[in-house]
Amino acid sequence: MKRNPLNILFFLAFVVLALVGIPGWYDRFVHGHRNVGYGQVITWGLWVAFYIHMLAVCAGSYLFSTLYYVFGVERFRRPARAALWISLVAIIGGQLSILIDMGHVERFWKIIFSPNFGSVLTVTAWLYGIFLGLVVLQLFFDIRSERHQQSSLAERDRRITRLLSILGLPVVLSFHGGEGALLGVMASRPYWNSPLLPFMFLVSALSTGMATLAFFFAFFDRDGRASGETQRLVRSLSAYALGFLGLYVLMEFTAIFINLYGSVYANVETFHMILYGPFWYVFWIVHLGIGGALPAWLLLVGRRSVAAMGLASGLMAVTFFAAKLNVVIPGMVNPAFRNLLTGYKDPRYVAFYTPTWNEWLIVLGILGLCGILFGLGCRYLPLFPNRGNQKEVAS
Amino acid sequence: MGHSVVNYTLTMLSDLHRALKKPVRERHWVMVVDQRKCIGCNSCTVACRAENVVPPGVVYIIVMEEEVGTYPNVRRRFTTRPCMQCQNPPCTKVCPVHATWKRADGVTIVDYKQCIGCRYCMAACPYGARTFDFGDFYTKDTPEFQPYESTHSYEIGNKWARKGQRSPIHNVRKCHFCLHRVHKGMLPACVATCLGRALYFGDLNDPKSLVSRMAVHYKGYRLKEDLGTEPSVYYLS
Repeated sequence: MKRNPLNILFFLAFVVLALVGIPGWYDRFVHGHRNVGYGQVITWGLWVAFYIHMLAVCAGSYLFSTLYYVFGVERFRRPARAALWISLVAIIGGQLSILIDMGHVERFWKIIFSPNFGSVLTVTAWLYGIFLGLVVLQLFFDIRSERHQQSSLAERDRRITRLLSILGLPVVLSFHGGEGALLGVMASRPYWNSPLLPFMFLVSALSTGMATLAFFFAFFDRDGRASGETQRLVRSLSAYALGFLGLYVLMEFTAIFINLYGSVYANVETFHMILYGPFWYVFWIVHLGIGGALPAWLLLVGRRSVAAMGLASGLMAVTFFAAKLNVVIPGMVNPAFRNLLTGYKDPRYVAFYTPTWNEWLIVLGILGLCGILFGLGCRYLPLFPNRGNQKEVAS
Repeated sequence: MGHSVVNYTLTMLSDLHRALKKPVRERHWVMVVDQRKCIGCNSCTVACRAENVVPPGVVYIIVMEEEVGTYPNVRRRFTTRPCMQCQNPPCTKVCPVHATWKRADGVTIVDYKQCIGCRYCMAACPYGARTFDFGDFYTKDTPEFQPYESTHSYEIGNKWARKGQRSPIHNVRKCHFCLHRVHKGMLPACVATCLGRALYFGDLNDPKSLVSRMAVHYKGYRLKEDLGTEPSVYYLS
């Protein structure tokens, strides 16, 4: 990709974010989990929500790439490789976030060498590993396929790429659906214990992944603008992202209606917390307003320029994080017993969670690192298949 | 069963010694909580903290308080909640690295050297009985750090000292029925300390044991029985 001022500006912004994260990393490694906001009742916080969000970006981007690699939709050939790269970067970011959340990071290898395959967590962790390998190989063969002088060798690499993508498709569906199952299997948590959750995760992945791609192509793909290719691509991607967002919101309101009507204390309390609790604005303002209504307005009513569509998609991609926060945190707001917290008084023994500065700094730092990695890929990897080949293939 | 407090203790100790002579798999350690006798003094919580040298935020046994009725007909009800040592524990199956399991004698334990601190088991426990060691100390940021905070504990037969970020810091911790005491022929710290003699401990598989007779005679109930977790803590009310 050629350098342009906007790309450099974004890259510098990501470098700044990565630097901002340094105090957070320092605190995490020196003081461990002492300066975090989560506690004994709400046991997971910002890092887990961010991890799930990054996996949604990863899964969504990868699923989009399969439209070309598996199903051969030729008009998605150009963005497919970039989607693979975004997918790879996002899974690295997500893994960083979950590693930092672990009490003993240095023991992560135990999941590989002494796994309990009866745990959904183990299964998803293994699937991430397999997926990571598949994506790296897929990128390698896909890029190499363009470099061969002999068409037979190029064809062989393209076949391998397709085979890897066919293998990757069920893996990515399993690990992100499995991520929903990871929470959904917990019978003791009525808010999570729903068969709908894995599907909600997949729908959110499709929306987030496509919105991320639309944002990227709107602001970074200058080469396709003259031919109108970028505009067509961004329009399709942002429309799909909005459609899947609509489906996700519909699922959310179905869950809200069913649970509020049911009037079971534990369920009602959780949904009241989301709708009217101290963090009501996360649902109404960030998720539905800035992340739903505003993009819908930009895409359906506004001028529908590439920049507007890109902005709308960026808003959807970023604010879906709010939806993930509203999945992870409220699920733990209700203690095991209504009067559990009367038994012991401690600042960590409360059903309330506000992320600390350290948690935010690390999230921003990971975002910065992902941005840098992404930018380096754009600069040094041939992420866009060359146009000559494209015409050749199309003809 | 009209024994004095001393007799109850001696009976439990005698039951304990009898149970220890049996193979581990033939024992089923249970606790009986007589809610009618609990005075809400929290001495069980305090004794447990001292015995296991637990830091702030970590708690193995708590006494939940509840106000029942309206004035002037009001009374307080106390529910002591140790780990339920479920026979069908939802917390063990979710552990990604086999760091927690149910022993043959029915007690669920955590291997601190294996635990990665993911806290999935905490989320899965329907009783809120697991807590995470965040590495806090009561006196760390005070003018003088008190050495008792880093003295050894002897949980599950091992010697643990909380230093730096080494286990049990950053591990999930839970009540283990003071197995290190039980194996030496002593009652769990909470049971030995209970002022109102509301806590009882013993082997359910021994029909002659006090806990077995109490659980059956008084028709003890268990918390959240509908979940099918088969807790090993019986309540009398």
